[in-house]
Amino acid sequence: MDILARNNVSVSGSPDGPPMVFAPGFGCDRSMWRFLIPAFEDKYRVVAFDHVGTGGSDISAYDADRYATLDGYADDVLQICDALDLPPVIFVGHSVSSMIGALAAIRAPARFDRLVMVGPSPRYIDDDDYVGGFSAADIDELLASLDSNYLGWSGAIAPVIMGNPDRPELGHELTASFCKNDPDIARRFAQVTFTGDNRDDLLKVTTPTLVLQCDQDAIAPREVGMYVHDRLPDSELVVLRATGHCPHLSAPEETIAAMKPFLARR
Amino acid sequence: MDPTEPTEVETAEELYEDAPCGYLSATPDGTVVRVNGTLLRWTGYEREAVLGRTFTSLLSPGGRVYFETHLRPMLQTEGHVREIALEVVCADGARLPVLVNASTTVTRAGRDIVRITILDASERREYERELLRTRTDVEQLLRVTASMAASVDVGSVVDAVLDELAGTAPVDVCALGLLDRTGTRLELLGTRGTSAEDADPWSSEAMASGSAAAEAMSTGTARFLVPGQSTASLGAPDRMLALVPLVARDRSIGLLGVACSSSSRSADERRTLGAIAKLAGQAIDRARLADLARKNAERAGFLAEASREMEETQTVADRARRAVDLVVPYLADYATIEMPDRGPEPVAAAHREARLLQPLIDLRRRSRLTADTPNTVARAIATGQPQILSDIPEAVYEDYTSEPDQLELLRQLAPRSYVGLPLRARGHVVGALMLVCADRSRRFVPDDLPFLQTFADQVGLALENAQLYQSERTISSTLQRSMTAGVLPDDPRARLSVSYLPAPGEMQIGGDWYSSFMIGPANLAVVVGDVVGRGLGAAAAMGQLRSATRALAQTGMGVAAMFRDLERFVVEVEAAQVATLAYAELALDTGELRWACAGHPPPLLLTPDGTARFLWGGRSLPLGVQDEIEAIEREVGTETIPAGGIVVFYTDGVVERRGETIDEGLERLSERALNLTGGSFDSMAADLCAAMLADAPADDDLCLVCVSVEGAGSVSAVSPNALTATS
Repeated sequence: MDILARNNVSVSGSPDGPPMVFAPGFGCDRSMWRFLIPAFEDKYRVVAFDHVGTGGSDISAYDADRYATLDGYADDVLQICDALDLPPVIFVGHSVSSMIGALAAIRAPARFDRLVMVGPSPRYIDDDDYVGGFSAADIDELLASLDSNYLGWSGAIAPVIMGNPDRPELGHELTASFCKNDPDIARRFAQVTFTGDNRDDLLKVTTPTLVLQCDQDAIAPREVGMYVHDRLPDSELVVLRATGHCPHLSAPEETIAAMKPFLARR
Repeated sequence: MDPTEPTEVETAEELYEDAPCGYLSATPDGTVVRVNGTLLRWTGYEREAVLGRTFTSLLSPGGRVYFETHLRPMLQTEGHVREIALEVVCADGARLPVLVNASTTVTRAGRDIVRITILDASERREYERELLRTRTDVEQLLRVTASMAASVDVGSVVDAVLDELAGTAPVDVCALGLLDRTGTRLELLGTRGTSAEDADPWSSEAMASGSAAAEAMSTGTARFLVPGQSTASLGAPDRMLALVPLVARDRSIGLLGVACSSSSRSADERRTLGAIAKLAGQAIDRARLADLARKNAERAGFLAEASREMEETQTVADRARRAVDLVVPYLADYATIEMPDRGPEPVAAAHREARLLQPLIDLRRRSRLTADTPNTVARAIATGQPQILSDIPEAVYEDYTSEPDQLELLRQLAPRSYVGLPLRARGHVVGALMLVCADRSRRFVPDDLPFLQTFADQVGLALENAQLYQSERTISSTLQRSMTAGVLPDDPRARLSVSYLPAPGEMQIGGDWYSSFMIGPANLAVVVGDVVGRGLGAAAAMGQLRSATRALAQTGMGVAAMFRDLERFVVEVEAAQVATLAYAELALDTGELRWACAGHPPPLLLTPDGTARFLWGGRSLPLGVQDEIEAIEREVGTETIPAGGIVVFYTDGVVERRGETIDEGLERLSERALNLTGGSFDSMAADLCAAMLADAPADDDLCLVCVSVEGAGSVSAVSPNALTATS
């Protein structure tokens, strides 16, 4: 199997530089890194990819069993490192990909030089004292809404919702955007992402990690970023002034500025 | 204010606040900085409750996640999103389906701002859901159509329908019943979500006159019942029940029952259910025709096979045994054949469970059934008409017998369905075939009778034929025995060794015969003949030829004259019109042999010095082939046989073998006969027959007569000849 084609892997930047691997979170494809990557290409060998079932990946490679847990996705990360024969990498993961990077680093610590977690959450559901940001009912409703295709998740429903017959370009716009998703795979990925619990895994990560937490994030609230930082044995926390869940889109300069000193430190 | 704008129409403020859509502005991080009155009216929030909050906090959790993971990235990179379906959580917690347009723009003051318009999409959402449902329904119909097209028999059509319905969300219980061939019973063919037992009352209630189900079937229109409206509720009384007739060729052939928990069924759902039922009706009808064609072909094959199998056996008992073995278990769980002329016991009986066979026979023996008892074997025999009882209720067992052990036995046999078939042949009834099904899953219905009676007639004819064969064979073999086993002359001057072997596996005896008698005190006559034909006719002809030969020969007229007079006789006897005959007169004192062979193979002479040769003289055509009787003067051979010589007379079965010339057979005979000359003469004929058959089975009768000439000197002495020595 061609791993690089399967995960729509792109390689750019300095061929001899230390490798950085950018992994997108749930929702969009690797082009969401477009404002960050140029800042690193002069010094680093920059690798970006799409998870199987999203973006430009090979959808036919999607295997519901393999991707029933985040381990399957972590396995893909290691396969990509193998395929490119990369020395220890700086892994930059957004949202759920932060946890995917953590799982991969636990399995093959030697493969990882640093982890950068953008808006990570080991668990989205509140649990006793733990604040995840969502009640169990919220997540149930989220998954149910995915099931019933009410929201604009679905490429299949998108033409109905958006596509006035006289304005077909509207339906095209979302489904052709970088946030397009196979509805069935998106539902499964959401299930894996939002019902998982990786809190104990954080304790096992030995790789030095930078946690980037936005000031106001509806998906991963500040408490979650603090929790991640507390649990990781070797981590730094930077709380960005940026709001939302995608600082690499909304505040790329601030994000880059937060990453560079961490990467420069040896 | 712009002076060109007619302020008396409406102000910009009014336009904003009371616009026909919700309107909201937010900072790039999503904090709401302005909201219009329309949105506040729709959602029930106070303005202060919205300002300062993030836009996403107004959304349902799903919408919030979707906005953060999908929409905000798009707003940030592309500047706008359009017509996104979301749900706003109102002040009272209700959800308002909306369509959202948003664009990022720079205000005159130079600030980035996100403008969001919100359209009430409640009706549209309902319409979309309806579209989705329709699409789901259409997909369901397509699936049902496809799985039915792949179904080759009624059972798999039923499974396809029920599986599809059971897989649909609001359906809890469903069942499908088809009218049986009598049209009076709804036969339950499958259920989902309930057991067959629980659904049973449903299928019986359906046939009650005036019931909703009966009405649905008689009108061909579906009925939808609210909980409690039907007495037979498919085991789910708290559910809504749909009763949909299955219609094929404008006739209701069955009923589909569907219980579901939803409080009502939309017109679309009803239509879909109706469409599925229509497809199912047609598919079942098609599958039934295919089933029927298959069944007919199978039955034709069965009848042909049955006929062939019965023909393989010969006796009445064997054929009856084959017949019952053929129908059990293929058609019935047990079967008996009774032929009153042959005694009160069944001629044959078979039961699916061997251990129940003898008790069954005992039960039959004890029960005194008469033609007045309805549906009995006796009645079938008396009327010559098939008797059928499709459903035997268990209560009837007690009418049949009051003895506890018999009752217990009946319960074990558990007859559920019964047919008594007369065995008819050539216009009369030879007996009856009784078939019983003990299994509830199958039973006899009047539609089965034509096929079953065809089989019974076939059995009747086979048994009748066996009876005729048997009586004919008895007569003809008696006749032949009387002809071949008569008392042989006992004279020390010539000894006889004889053997007759009928062809193996033949229903009818053949036409070979022999005879030997004295003509006066000094001459021995030996006759070996073969009448063309088999069976009773041939046996009669043999008898006549034998008597005629003897009567003519004993007048002492001699070989030639005997043949001449026999020829006259033969034309009178139709059955013996073609016959071969070897006839010889041996003068016991001189050893002189005079013979003639009418179409018969030549006698073999074994001399005392150990040589063998055929006596080729005295040859002529078979009896009954010449037109001009007067012209016949048959050639007579003569030969003096020395004392110690042996003459062997035989029929063609001894020397003829398929694929050989007659010379090879003769060669084999002389060789094997010589090999036997050292042994016992008394068994010589039998030994020689056996020797001739040593390397190939017989395919014809074998008849062989050996005459050992002892000579006049042997009258008062024990012969020193080795041939007579016995051990």
